[in-house]
Amino acid sequence: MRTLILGLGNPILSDDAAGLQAARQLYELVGGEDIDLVEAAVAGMQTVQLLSGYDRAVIIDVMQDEARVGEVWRLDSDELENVSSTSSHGIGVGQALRLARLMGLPVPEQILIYAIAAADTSTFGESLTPKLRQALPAIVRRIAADLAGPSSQG
Amino acid sequence: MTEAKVETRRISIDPITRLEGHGRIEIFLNDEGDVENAYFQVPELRGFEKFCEGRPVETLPVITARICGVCPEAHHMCSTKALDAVFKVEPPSAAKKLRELLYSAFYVADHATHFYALGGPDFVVGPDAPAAERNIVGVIGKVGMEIGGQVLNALAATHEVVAMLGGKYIHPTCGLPGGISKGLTEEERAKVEEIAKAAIEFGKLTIKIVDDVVLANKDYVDLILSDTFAHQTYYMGLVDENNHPNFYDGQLRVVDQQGKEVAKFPPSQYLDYIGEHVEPWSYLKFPFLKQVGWNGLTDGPSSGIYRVAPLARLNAADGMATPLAQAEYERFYSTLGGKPVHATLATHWARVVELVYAAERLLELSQDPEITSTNIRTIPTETPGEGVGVVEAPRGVLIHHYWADENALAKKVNLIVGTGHNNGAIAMSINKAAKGLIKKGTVVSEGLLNTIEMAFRAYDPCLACATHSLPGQMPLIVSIYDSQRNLIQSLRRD
Repeated sequence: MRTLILGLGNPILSDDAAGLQAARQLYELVGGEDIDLVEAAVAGMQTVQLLSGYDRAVIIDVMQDEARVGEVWRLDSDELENVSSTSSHGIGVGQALRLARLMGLPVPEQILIYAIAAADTSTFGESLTPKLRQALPAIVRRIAADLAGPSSQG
Repeated sequence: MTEAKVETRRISIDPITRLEGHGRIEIFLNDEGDVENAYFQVPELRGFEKFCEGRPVETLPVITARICGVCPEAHHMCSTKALDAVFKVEPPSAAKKLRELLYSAFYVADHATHFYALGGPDFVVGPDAPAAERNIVGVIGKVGMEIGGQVLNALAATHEVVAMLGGKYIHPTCGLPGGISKGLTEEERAKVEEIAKAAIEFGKLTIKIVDDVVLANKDYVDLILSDTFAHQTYYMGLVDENNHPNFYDGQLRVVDQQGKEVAKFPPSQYLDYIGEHVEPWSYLKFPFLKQVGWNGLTDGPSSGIYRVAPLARLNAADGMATPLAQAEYERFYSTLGGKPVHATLATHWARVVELVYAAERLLELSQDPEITSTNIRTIPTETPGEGVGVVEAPRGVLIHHYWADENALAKKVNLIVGTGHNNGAIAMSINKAAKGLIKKGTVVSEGLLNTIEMAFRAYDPCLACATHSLPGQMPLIVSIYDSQRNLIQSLRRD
């Protein structure tokens, strides 16, 4: 089974880089012959192009939530698919997946989406805020456990 | 918000949960329940200038491309051109053509994305359709799977051209002061040529959809031409020696409300022509024409507010440089009542005219005998200094201005982005749309709110340039406040 670990985020926007860093650390932890790592800062159809050809994908991104910094949620891609587009540009990951399936494009059967709660994603800088930095290894272990466990099969 | 002492009620479109790139529309009502004023606010990214200071100036094309996950190519290209100026170096002709080729492919992809995924749903699915259907999935449901497939193919193919030259998927790294890091082999050139031909066919298809879906529907045409969505402003665009729009290079030309040229200048002189007004309620500045002056958020000849982006580029030009685009340009103006067109919603059609031009230009460049040349770099030898770079980003004139010390470390950077130029116009458009659509006793319905959103979506504003996060789009919340600033209604749009 070919797995893609996809980190999304902006590497120069403080905590916004958490998804990229978590993806990298996850890859170091579980990476192997059948696992690839991609770091990107994109949404929508381009994400689908990146996912194409894999059986399983792990997408790690960031949500601004100062009250719960360091926590991580696993989102169901169905939840995202129901979100409509009001964006000025770019379409959501969920909508892109829905579109890709509609068009019969090859998307992974299993897509695990993780959102890491972050404190500051709007100040230019190359380091995470301290609390999130400390929490990152545990977040990575949690995702790695999901990948190894039965929950990843569904 | 600043505490202005006005008796108003307020409607606010504001996200509760910031996922990424949230925008907020605030609408104040007066005692009669009419709209007093409306504001559009975008989130602030902080500390960019400081982040850049002291870094090697030649790293800025990669850093500035990171500002935005949507148009990294525009920042990369603009930054690379600013470096040409900083290092006082002229790229070889083939390098300029390769840059423009990459940029043309990017334009096809970006304009297509906007037309089919963002602007299109309002028309193809309809402004009153449920939000859940007003998206690209809804568009394809309407136009059919076959066309849907062609849209996706066009996007994938033009992204492939960008990656071919850009060197790195999504964020190009090919721009160097004095040139470009990679050329095209004959095999790659042939591939680009093939993609360009398909892109032109895709452009024709898109014109047909404009015809069949938008122009054939009188209600839509009336909506586009309605006074609610019109502003008599100045227009600015980058033009070539024939006053045709050029996305990569040229002079900045400004026309007035009648389409008459009032300024034309090399981009390096932008500070002589463009001033920036500051309002307390917005972190984004409001650029205006210095020769006219700032006269508040109002249109007309005495207001220095100007517009950029597709509609402005067409208005500021005398025609298009390629045949199909020129034909569509002529039809655009004859259909909409002559030049210039002030109807903001016509921007969507203008974007299609430009899509066709970008595809035709891509083909021209792919067939240029020089395009496979290996002479693609002039090595800088001068001591670096100050430099300005300008391109037309899809969202309008993009200016990068750098100051470097003699060791080529950045001392200062100044960026004016497309959304910045349009800031005053966007504020006016939302204000006017809100005033036209919210009257005494009117219940603010979903379709009504979307119509207000349509007023700013036409500008394709770049909101914090960070659309990658989940769900990768901008949630909006509408809160309505009465004249005592009490919340009377709040509507959320995810």
